[in-house]
Amino acid sequence: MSNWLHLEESEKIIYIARKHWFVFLCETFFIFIFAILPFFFHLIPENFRMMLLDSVRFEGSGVALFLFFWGVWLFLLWIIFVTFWTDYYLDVWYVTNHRIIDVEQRGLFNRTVSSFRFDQIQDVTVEIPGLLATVIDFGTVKIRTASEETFKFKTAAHPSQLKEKIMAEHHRVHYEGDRN
Amino acid sequence: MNSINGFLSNGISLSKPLLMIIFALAFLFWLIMSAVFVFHWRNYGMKERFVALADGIYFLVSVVLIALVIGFYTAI
Repeated sequence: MSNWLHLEESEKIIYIARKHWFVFLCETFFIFIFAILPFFFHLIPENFRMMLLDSVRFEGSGVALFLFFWGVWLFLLWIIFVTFWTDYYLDVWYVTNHRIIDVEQRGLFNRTVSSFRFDQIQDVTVEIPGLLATVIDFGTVKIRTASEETFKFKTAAHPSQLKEKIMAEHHRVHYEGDRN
Repeated sequence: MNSINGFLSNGISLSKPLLMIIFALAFLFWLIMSAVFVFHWRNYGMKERFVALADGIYFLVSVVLIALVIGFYTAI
């Protein structure tokens, strides 16, 4: 487990909830478009294209120059892609047999880790925002705690499954106590 | 519009040193990001295997892209 995530003795992770892959796909789709964009240069009207090409003067191979710029371009897009992936993968809820740990990743260094025990939960709400969310199964899970604080997990994958896991643990803690 | 016309008529002259500066800037950006990912990897460690694997892929692909860019630079 992560160095900063210290589980208590006898604490076990039951479920790990992440954002839906579709959210990641939407975020990174434009990177793919930008990556192939240089190949659509020939779609620019010919007179304007020739004006642009004439305005650049250099000595050497044009193909190698294009590939050089495209390589630098891909290199920068690759770094942006990995930054998106980090944000997607490390934004996570751990449901353990004692509590829920909410890790909110904002950027590469900034993260907020909060946790609350099952006996603090007042209610759990699942919001499915539309047709697409219904079909591919993602939505927002909101948990209101006894301290009137609301924890939200937007665009969570399989929100109903997450709610079921939380409610099952909540019932277990309520009826059996937090012994396991 | 004048500035665009001005640019098009005057043009820019690309030389190898200029391209080297472009590459150096991209490489510097990569170095900074790599420092971020080393920090990231140290925080999550090998126990989060998928994170370690993803960071490994990040470095591998980056190195391949750097090699390609240097190759294209020498081919110009």
